[in-house]
Amino acid sequence: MSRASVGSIGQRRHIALQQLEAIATTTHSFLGPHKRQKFIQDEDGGNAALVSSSARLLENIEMDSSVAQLLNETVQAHQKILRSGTNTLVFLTGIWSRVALDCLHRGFSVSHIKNATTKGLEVCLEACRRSAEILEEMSSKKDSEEKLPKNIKLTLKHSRHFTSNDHQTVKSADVSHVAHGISHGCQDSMNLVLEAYKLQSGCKTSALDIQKLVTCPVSGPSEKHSRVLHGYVVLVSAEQSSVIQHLQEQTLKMALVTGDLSEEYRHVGYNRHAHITHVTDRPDVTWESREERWIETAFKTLRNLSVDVLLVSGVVSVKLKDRCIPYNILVVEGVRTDILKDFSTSTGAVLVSYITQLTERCVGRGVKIRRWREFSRHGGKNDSTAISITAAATSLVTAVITSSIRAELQSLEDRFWSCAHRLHQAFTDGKLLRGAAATELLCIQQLYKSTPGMENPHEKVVMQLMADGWMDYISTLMLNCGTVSCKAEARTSVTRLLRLCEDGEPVCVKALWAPADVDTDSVTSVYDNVTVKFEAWRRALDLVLLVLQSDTEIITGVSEGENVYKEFVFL
Amino acid sequence: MGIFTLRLIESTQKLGLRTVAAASKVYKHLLDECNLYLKGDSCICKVRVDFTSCDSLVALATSMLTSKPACMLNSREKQHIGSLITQAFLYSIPCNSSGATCFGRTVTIAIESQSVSDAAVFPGLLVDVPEMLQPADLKRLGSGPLKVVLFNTSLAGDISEVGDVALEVYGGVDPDFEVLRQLLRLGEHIVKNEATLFACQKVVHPVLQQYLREHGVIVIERLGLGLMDPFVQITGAQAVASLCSPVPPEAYGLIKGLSFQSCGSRELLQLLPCKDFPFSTMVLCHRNETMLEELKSQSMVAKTATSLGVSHSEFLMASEVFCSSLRAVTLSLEHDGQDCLIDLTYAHRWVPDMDSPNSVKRACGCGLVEDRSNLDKTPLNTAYHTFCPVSLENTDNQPKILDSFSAKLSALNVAVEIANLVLDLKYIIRDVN
Repeated sequence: MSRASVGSIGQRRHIALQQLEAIATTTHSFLGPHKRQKFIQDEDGGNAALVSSSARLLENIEMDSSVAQLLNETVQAHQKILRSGTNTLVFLTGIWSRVALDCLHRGFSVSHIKNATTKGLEVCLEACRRSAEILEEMSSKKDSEEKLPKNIKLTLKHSRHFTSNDHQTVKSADVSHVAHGISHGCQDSMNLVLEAYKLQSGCKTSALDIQKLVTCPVSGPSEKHSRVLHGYVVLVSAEQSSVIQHLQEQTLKMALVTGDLSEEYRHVGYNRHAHITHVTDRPDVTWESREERWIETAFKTLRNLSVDVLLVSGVVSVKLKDRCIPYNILVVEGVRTDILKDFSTSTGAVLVSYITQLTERCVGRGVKIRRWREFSRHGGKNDSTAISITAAATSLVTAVITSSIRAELQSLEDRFWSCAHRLHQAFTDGKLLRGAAATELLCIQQLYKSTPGMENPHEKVVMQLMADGWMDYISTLMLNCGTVSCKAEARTSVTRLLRLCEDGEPVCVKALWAPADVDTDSVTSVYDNVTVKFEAWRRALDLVLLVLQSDTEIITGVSEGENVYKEFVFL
Repeated sequence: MGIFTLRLIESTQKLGLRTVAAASKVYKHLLDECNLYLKGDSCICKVRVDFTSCDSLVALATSMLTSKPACMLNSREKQHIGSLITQAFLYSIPCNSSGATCFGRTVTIAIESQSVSDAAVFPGLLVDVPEMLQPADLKRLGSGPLKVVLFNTSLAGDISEVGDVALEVYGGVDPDFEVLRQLLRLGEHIVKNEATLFACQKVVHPVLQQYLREHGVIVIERLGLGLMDPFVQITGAQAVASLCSPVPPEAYGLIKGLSFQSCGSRELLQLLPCKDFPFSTMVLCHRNETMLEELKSQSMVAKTATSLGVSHSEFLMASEVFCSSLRAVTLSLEHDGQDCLIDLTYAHRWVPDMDSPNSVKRACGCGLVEDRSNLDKTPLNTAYHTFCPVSLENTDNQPKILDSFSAKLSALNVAVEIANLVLDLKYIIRDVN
């Protein structure tokens, strides 16, 4: 390829990387424990969403460019598994896009950039791996005066096929110390997680089984009314309160249905035939009576099997619900399938798709219902009662999350899940990284340290640029926390600290936050998850290098009738 | 090879109408010559792959992955995937068979959001675990061969298979009820014939599923078209297309056993074949969906092997176009706009060293030839005297980059055929309505 065409292709690369950098800057305010939330307004629909994380922001924005979609894909994939670290992921994507752009301006080739940045990341990862603190040592460091068993092991259920007979209890002080360290400002949410952990370990099963955690968001009462309760907590409407009154104090039978419970419902995968005509010479066989017959059959089935509680994953026909109330059959709709499966295991009930499948063998036993509290809204019209449904051997635990601001409920729920996953991940990894920018300072140190040993001038420049990137990360973090008035001030602090630091010694992170009168003890007890951080860094660099290496964008889809191509690229 | 085709077409069109017709004949002839040379023993582009050494096979697989940067693998991950590919290939070589042998089968499945190092090769076929399946169900099956039945028609209880026609139903008949009744009759028949694994390409009605499960039959639905062929191969079952007639005895298949396997955090169900048929599944993992797709398409098992009525000037012009198009392919290998050099002894490709612009890298592009002071080189797109390349004898160097012989040969043939087809076209008919 001639030099001239390299320039023009270089322009296109710039655009994609520039786009990536631009999108990333919108999420800077989410970095760190003090997040500034954002409102996203839908101009057409008039809806608004309140977001406080990169994952939610990208979810709610309409994105036309393929780069933005790639970023969203990456972020959502990370979020789905780890539920935290997306802000770091997006921030670093922006930083490293800028590094790549800088290198391209200097005339570095793509393969040089790729090799050097990959090497730089490996340097950082290796240093962090070595400096990670092992959980067991952390706990024994904290309670050194108390005698602790040497191998504290927290067993966890990863899947339903793992059964562990090894139940060793962990000192609750250790767990709360770790939990506090990784809460990153969401102490209230982390407290809920700790309560859930306590409840679950009381059930004599493995502690903090994340598969058995449920959230129940309730809008109305203020945040301080959030609680964690044993069992499955759900809101039922005022009409069913008489049913609850009757069913309390008894041991009940339960039936579980997936899908909707109505005459028209057919299971997923059933294709309705488009053109069926029913021809009959009997005028009394009408459609209404078909539905009536179905409701009678369904109701009779429930009565004959003495079903007291019916849990359905979809929607239940209103007429059937009304039929059940006078006979004290509790009907709960919209139950997640994994909750149904848990009840199936703990009560012996068999999940069915159609009410006609219900037999004696499919009905479960040993269920209890307890009224928890009433929530009244708008003067009685939308009153609801929160009840907890428990089965004898279940380790299901529900966190009821309340907020007087409906828009904030989603953020609160996200925060709960983020804390729960971080705690779970901490015990899965068995180690943690020092937080409050300690890890990032270490990365800068290592990058500077490795530069003199490099023969390749390109690599030296890239290491320098990556160190600058980490500097930007720390400055943004400090700015968001309010400990500096501008990023330049933060950079000065960090540079001074690195200069003063002795050779070979890790940077003292306390000194970074001390001038701002931040409680230094609390600083040293802040931690980060190893897997969450490392995965976020890796995915960020993967994405930047992928975008860097794609030199053309092919636009598919031309609207019919228009013979005008809006934008196209020649290979 | 798209570059080759396009270049060939573009350059030929510049030659003038009469020459265009002649050019196709020349290209066909040159292609035949290329085929002859490449397939012959004296071809110096071919490298013998030593099957007694795992290292060379792993190197071959790894080098193919190296040539695809969009997979985004670091060297450790490349080594891991390279050795997995080799493992899968070795699994597919049948042992204990005499006479004509053919390779076995490797199915590739992809899991997103996992670390690359979770990728693994498993014997047998891996499918998604059916929703209601519990470990207790598998334990109840015990050991020993299991009878298998396979359906490729929808058993969802609907009448979608008839197509988009108008139906009239008389006499108060309920089609859903009747179809379900037939499905349950089918279920009874299957249970009576002691089948223990019931698989369907499409959806199975929940009521039928419940009936089968209650009688100790394991149900796998939504197998998908892609897995039907491997399933048939591994079990020996014949796919049944109708739910109305009883299943013929020869349609049943057999498997040795079922077990759970986990790959990363995902659970899968493993089917083990009865006969000695070499079958394996390679599970590929990657952090990002786009990179996973790229990795999946690049994982291939290494295989070896492997007049004209035109005027003199037409022949020369067409040959020059053919050669310059091949050169264009070589030049496009350097993405950074670097110059491409050819040495005048062995005819290997050389790239200037990034760090010292006036000299070349220590070894040639494929790694077989080391640089020497008397090795003359010239840029590829300049003129040079024709010469006969010397073949490399007794070199200790291993080739760094290898391509599949059959893939390259086939690509070259297809490229020339397409070019010839396009050049031969005189009219295009377009449907304006």
